[in-house]
Amino acid sequence: MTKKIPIVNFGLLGEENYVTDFVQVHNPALKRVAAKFPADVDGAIKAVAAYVAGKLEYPLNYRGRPTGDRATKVFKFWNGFYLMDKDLDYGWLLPNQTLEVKKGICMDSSCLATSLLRIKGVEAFTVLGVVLRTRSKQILGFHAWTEAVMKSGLHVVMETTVHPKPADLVPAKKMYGGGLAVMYDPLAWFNESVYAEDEKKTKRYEEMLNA
Amino acid sequence: MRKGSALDLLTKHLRRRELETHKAVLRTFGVDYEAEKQKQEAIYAALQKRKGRRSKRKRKVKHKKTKLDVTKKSQ
Repeated sequence: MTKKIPIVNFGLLGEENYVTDFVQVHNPALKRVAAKFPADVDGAIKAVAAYVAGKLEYPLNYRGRPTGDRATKVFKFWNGFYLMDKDLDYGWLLPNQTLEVKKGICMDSSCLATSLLRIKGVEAFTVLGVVLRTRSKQILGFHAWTEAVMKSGLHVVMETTVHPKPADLVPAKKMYGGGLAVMYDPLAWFNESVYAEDEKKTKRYEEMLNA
Repeated sequence: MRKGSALDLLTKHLRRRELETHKAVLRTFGVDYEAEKQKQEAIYAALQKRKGRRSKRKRKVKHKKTKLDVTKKSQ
């Protein structure tokens, strides 16, 4: 299990950040939003799930296909020219940016949910993992979601890409153990202060995908 | 980013498998992907229609202008 916090270059302009920077617990805009939610743990989890589902949309392109692409123009004029015009195939938004654009891929919406939960003091993580078909164990792809711990100690999976009605909270054991049509297999967990990754499992998946 | 890490795998493969994963996740949580897709396509079609109308209007205006110019020259 690795605990070293990785650096990623998935920022809006391809800038580098620690992966833990994508959970913002000190952001004033997020704090203002979180202040509206109930103080109790279970109430906060349900309120955050409903807020993220209702406020955001999954970005689809003009053909209706999901997309993580972006094109950013920095409007700083110098002798009539833009100083920067940047296209990226794939990138993440910081939670306060997701809140502003009201759109986000799995990573963006789950980091927003995790940030709001962490501000409320709930034990929560953004989880990166694999989505598999439960019956055939066929790999469908990679995904990110939020895992939160309820007052009773029950770990629940919050699927943050379902809009506008929130997806039901699913017990982590059920989600990871194959209780639904698809199962999630977690590879890495993080919030604002910790990062953990199951290296053995990741290596196994890499070998399977390269085979 | 460390090669072979979870983040590295995610970056390499997410884009290629995004549609399939998204469809499966939505279906599991009871959302109709096709309906969502149609909504997006309708927005795009409406936008294209509006664009078409606007360009027709522009063409008309241009035509009028040329006519006026012609009369001016003849005078």
